[in-house]
Amino acid sequence: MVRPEVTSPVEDQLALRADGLHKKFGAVTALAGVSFSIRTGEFVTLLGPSGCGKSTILRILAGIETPTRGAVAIGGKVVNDTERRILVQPERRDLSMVFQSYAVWPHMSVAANVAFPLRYRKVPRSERRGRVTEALRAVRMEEYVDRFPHQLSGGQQQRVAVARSIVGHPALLLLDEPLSNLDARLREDMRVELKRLHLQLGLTMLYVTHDQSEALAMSDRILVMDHGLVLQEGTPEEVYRSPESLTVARFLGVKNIVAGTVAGGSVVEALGGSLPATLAEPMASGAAVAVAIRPDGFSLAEEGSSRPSISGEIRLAQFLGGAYEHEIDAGGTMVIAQSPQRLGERGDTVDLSIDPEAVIAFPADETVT
Amino acid sequence: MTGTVTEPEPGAPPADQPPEAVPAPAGATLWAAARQRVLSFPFGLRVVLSLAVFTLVVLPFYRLILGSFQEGGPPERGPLTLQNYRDTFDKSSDIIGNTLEFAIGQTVVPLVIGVLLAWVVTRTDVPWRGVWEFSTIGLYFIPLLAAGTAWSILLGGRNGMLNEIIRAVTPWDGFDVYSMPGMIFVQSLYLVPLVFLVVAASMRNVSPDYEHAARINGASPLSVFFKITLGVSRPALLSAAVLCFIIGLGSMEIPLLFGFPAKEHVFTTDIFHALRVRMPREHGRASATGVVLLAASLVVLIAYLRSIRHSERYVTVSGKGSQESPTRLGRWRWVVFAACCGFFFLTMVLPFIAVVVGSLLPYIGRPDTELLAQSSLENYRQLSDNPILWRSLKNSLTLSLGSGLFVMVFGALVAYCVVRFKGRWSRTIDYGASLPLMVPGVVMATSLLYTYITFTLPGGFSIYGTLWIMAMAYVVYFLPVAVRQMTGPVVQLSADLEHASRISGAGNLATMGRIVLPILRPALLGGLILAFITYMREFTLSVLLFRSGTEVITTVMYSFYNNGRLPFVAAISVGLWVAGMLLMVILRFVLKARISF
Repeated sequence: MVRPEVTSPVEDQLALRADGLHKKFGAVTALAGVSFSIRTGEFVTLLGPSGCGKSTILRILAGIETPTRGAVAIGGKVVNDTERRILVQPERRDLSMVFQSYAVWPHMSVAANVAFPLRYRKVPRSERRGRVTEALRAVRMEEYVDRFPHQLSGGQQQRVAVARSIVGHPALLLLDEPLSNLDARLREDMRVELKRLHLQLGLTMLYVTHDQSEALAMSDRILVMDHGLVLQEGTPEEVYRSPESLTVARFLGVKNIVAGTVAGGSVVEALGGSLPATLAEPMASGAAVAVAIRPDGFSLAEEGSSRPSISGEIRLAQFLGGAYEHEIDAGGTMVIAQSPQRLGERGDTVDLSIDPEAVIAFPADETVT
Repeated sequence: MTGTVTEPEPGAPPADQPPEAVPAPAGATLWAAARQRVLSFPFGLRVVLSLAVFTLVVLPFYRLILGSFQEGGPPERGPLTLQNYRDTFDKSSDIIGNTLEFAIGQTVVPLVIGVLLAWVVTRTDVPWRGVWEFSTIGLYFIPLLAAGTAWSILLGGRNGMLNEIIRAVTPWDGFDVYSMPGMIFVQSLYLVPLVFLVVAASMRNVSPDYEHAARINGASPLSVFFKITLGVSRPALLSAAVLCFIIGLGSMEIPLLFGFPAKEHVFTTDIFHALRVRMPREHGRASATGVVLLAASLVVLIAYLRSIRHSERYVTVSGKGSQESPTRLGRWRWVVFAACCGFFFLTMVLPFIAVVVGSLLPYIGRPDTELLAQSSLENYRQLSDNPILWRSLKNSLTLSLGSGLFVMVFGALVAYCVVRFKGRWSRTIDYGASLPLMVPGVVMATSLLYTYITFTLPGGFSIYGTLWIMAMAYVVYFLPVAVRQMTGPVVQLSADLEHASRISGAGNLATMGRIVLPILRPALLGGLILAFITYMREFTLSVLLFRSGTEVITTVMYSFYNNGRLPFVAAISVGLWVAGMLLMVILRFVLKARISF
């Protein structure tokens, strides 16, 4: 490069900056202007339903796909800029990626798979063996070094794919729904494993998933996406506790969305009672609202409690292991309540109080989305 | 080179300016964009493949067609004329009839036998179905020239051994294979595997439930066979028929072996005589005949394409590969079994015995004790001292392996383009590469001959009369099959495997060399064996293109045959026969490849 890239000290801290990414596939808009950045060492998750454009972002960052418009810088170096016609090929970007399909090469041994990136990162032959062992040890696969992919289970192939992606110490690691092909138990294990790797190796990770529990458990920061746009960005606690829109609340697992009206102040009338709530925006008394109530906000009303309560009939109670899930008919509306204790037997009518923090009211027209 | 395109000329924009403020010079940007596009891998690969298809397929046909309208024919570039066509049609009224008779006959007979065999193997409970499938496909691995030699020993004129026996023990004269029915008979037997492969593949995909449904609704087994089984397989039947017909128009072995003594000439033998026998050479007539053959196959092809226009109608729900046979033959089971045994005996056992016996005798004649007592290994001994035979064997192996490797990689790349870079350009390359499937072999050879006969590379190196022009013909000949062979495996290759490689730091070429081609290696190897076999038995292209020094095994066999040394040809046939069977066994049982076209 003749001209050095101009970066400010702040930018040096950024592992990735994406600016105004647009992508159209024919007439279909996959990305409608997405901008975000990731600090070095951060774990960021793109969360959204399938088709929201999150995988397209990953592919653009990797260089497999080109954006219709927008710019990408990795580690302060511009790798893609449609305005300036810069397009760096995938092999020249200092990143790696774990694919949903694992993409472990079937004709190479585990060792050869993991050693592959080292050849192109100019790692001397003498060091490669050590690096491969180190990476395989990090994913607890060192005894499988001479196996071939067809001799491994899906979970083990996944670990090989992870080892291959960390062996070159990339500036940025992209993960495209890496856990979605694993069964439930393996998924839990692998989730912990990935987080441990992140902390242990100080990797910068961008993780794509449609599973909110994965996103909440692993991320430093979550970007909730839909229809090619970022709807909300924040720490897991922020997006979980204060969703800015009904759509975000839905992605984060809020199953109870009921109609109500503002009763003045921050109290809403819903489920046949008056509930203290958090208003997503200031609204006048009498305004129609859609009320999102997190299932974990319910508890049995204590005698003489000042918290206003609702009453309802338990239609179904299921033991989930860590908690009970109840379907409750509250004044003709079905709600789902989760609690550590059983709230009552099927057919019981119970009084329930709801944590005001768990109740968020959005303007009613948002239900349209 | 980082792939970054905008590298401003030194000194143009001051380096301390923020990048956003630098307007790239319009011309430079355009140039850079153009350069990036041309240097990009998808573009470059398609340019290379387009050029290859152009030189190997398009240009030769263009030269042939143009030359056929020029005085004296190609490679002269004389004034335009129709004289070549007048010559062709004036002298060849019976040739047209013979050609059609031969082509139609050797389409109908193998179609009937092949369809019945495919039905027996995929649809009935006849014993030993695996054996019949294996031995039928095995026929493809026998060089047609070797099979022709065998039948020449058995039924060739009055001296055919079987004819001698028939005359001795029955009042009949036997059957002379040196005749039109004889030509059709022998050619048909060895086209059966082609029909079988195409039709059996289609029948296998038909769920037995279609047949069960017809039976339940009252159809007899016979009408189920005609109305349902054959009905659903109609596109496969048609394409097998077209394949056979075009082979019939363009193949040389049987017409040359049997038609010449019988004085039954067809277009292919006419081209052979115009180019390799008659003096002076009749290039005008040969090229015009080639164009006539090309036009004939085009007519058939267009008719075929029109008839399969609505082939989506025939898209079937494939069965779950159920092992049960839908048709129980009952008491016919053993009759059909006997028929299968008979076919096996007629195509494999009897001819093989004939070449083995023939190879041990000093001459072919009545197999009495006097002649049989003279049997020895003398023919083999003499052949092993023949330097031309060894040279031709070396040429055959070199050509078959070299062209085979090249054509499989070529085919894989075409398939890769079609699958990965969808679009009109890739499809055009695919059409071009598939074109030779629909062109009679003899036309292909003549086209290449006329295109490269005068072509010299800088340094005076001419490919005419070298192994190179034969290699080109071999590659063109097998290219359509190679593309078909590789398309399935490429479709199954997940693009993520390539993306993972790119992201790991490997460029496009390294990804091709280290990931794509190695993963495709089993499919490439299976295709290579099939190509190898096809090339080892190839005769039509070779006999038109070889020169002294570039003989291949089949052309040497033909020249022995022509000189009346039938026992020598039989000895070589034994070798090729055994080698073919060995390769077949390796392909089927060691590589476990499915053989298909």
